Amino acid sequence: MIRLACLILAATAATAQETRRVTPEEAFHEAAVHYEASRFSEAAELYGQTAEFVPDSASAHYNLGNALLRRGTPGSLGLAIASYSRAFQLSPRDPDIRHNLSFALKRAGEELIPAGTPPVFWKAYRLLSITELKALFFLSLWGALLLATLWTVRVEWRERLRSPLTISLTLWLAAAGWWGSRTATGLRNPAVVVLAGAEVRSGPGTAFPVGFKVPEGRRVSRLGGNKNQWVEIGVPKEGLKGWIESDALEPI
Amino acid sequence: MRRFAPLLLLLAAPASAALDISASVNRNSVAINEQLVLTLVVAGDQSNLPPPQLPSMPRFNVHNAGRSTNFSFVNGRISSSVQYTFVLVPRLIGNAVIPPISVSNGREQAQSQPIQVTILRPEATPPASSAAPARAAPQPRGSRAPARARPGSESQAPDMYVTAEIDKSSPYVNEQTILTVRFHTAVRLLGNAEWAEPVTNGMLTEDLPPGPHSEKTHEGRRYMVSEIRMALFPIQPGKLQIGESTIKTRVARNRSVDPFAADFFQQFFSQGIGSEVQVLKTRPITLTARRLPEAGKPSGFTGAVGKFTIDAEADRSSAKVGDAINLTLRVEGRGNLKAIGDLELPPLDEFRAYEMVGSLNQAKDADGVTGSKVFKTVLTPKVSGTLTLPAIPFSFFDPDTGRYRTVKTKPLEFSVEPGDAAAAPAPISFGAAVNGGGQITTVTEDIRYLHNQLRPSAQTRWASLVASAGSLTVFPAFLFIGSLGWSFYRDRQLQDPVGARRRGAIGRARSLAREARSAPDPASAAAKLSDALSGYLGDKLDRSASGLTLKEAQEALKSRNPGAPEGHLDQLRRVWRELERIRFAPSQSGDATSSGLADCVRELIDALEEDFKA
Repeated sequence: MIRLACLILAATAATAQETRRVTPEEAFHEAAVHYEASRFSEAAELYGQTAEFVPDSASAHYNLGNALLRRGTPGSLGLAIASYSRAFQLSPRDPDIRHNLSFALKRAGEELIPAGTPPVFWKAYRLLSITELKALFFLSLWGALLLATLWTVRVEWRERLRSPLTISLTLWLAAAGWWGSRTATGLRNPAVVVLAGAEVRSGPGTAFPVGFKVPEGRRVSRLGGNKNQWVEIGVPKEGLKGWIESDALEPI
Repeated sequence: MRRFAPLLLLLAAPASAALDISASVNRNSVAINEQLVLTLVVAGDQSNLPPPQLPSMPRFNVHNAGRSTNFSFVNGRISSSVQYTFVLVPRLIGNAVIPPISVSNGREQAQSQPIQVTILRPEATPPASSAAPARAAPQPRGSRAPARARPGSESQAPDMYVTAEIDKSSPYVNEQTILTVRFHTAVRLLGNAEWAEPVTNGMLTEDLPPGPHSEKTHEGRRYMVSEIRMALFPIQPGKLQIGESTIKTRVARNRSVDPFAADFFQQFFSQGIGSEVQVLKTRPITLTARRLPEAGKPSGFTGAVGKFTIDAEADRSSAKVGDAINLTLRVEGRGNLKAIGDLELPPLDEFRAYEMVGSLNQAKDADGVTGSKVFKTVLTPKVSGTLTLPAIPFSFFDPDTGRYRTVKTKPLEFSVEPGDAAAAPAPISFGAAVNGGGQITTVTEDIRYLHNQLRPSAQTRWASLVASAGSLTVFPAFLFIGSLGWSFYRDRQLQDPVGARRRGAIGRARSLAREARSAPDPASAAAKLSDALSGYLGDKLDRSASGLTLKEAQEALKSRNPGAPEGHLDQLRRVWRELERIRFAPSQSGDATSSGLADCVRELIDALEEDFKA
């Protein structure tokens, strides 16, 4: 908390490179000033530092995505998608985050909502973040355990406890199923490709032939292999696997 | 116009082509004593473009004269082009063809068109001959005379030498300085000379097209002079050094034929003409880069040094509200164009301005780097009427005058009409539509604006807190498990009351015995201990404690446990009677104490408990 309350963030003004003591809020608002003046690189740097110190702030990741997308340098699109994805993970019901993530993915040739999936179902399935699902799981579990304790101890209350206990048990089972389903169906160790036309090889090194190329902004799954700055990835949509240089990936 | 031919080729390169190459020459006919400039432009949508593969051109000596790179970024995509310049020196008269030149990045291949060139005889009057002395000097190009070795030659002037000079010894930071390296040769060269650039720490460099070939007389000897030029841009103030430039070439040398040498036949058939590699170096040059003055620095100055102009151009002067107007801002001039930062539009109340994208177009001539940086954006009028886009300033430092200058575009006027009923952005109304309703038309799709609240909501914080406190589940879990145990115990009690009474007998008796220990007198203690003993036996034997007699107790104990030691029954009888005696005749208690009585009863109960368990 002390670190959050009193941060040392390098304010990278274009003209004066001096180190100032600012809070994350000050850096956040200073970044907005840079953004409004179209100094997107400076804004991206400050938003990046803010997101690093307040990692659970969806707004910091969202604004960082905006600054990166506006900056428009090579690799910015992939980094912007990674930032928007983090923001979306934290706040899936925010329409601005969903819109900008969809916008950036379209630039990368992807769709946020897979083709053939009714948007209503897709949005309902992602109504809650993984954190919220975990919280719902534990809250309903605690409630069910306490009610079950009362049910056991106080025989005379059993009639009154029947409905609340049923509800909390149902909630617990639903949260467990939802959480498990989201974890099982989502990308495992997701990352975004930040290099245009990144080459994916059949092994960890340039001695192995290029198997396929992945466009910038494509979301992939890190499969766990990691050798000499090469990471094994999978592209579930196309069912492809290969090795890519770690510099070409930005973990989400 | 010819200077901009490569630039036009750059602009004309198809945006969709992944890899492209084009070749052009500055002339299609050239005299044998002149030179030809071949320009190759490799363009593509990747940052690292491959170099072209030059084919064999036997009719020319080919000299590499540098390269320059141009980048542009649009919507996050990069497109770049690299311009290669070669100087071709004709060797044979006649029609020559520059064959197709290919470039490949491993996946794609592109090829230029072949170019026809006519090589003519030299003109009757050789260039610079009027100033040259009458003494015949060797011609490096076209001359077939072998170079003579210096020892024993009729002049002390060297066969070849190289010089280097800069046009400014104390430029400003970011000011363009031209380094000129002159290669003087009075002998025939075998093959192309190789030039190694000098090390220039603290400076950015740009290759420039080579200067014209010329002739020069030095110490009575005629030299062909070739110029190599570079533009230097100091990026830091202070003393900066330009390292030595190196020119490596191979020259012909006369050699006498040695009949005993191992390569006699090779010497014989080469008619005694050999070759020798010559390496020439320039001296390092030091320049002093001056810091840009702080006085008078405009607020919008981003580091441009040179001479620049700015102009603005819109693709239309009339539009409707919501229409897109393409605005092009072009900064043009001489200097380090790469140092020009992004332009900023002044605050516009009547227009909505979109992201500005820039592209760099560089051209080079003998005097340095020139060209333009073009910024493009889209404006959409918000209101109707005659709208004025104010002048857009651009500031730079003019090194010739030593002052900052600010140039401005001309204000642009637009005649804006109200938008179509269907297309104009209708106001969003709530409730019933009062104007017949309106439709919102999307002009362009863009990302949404920034969020201004850094901290997550209380709901999100609570969710994070709960999600991270999963380990606390052990507490309600233990509570629940405890309740299950308690419930099991309670059910057991309810289902077997006799057994429950029997199991609790020892505890209750011991508790009464502890209480009796602190009784004020032996009579009171005896009363409590009597209750404890009869209660224990009543609980164990499932009898009423109040009506239990010693005889009944003994019989019941015998029938329940026939193998019980007789001593325990005798002890029961003695204790029972002693307690009754003290209880009902306190005066006969003698020296009995409460604790002593309690110990006796406790001992008896423990012994009986053992018997019950047996």
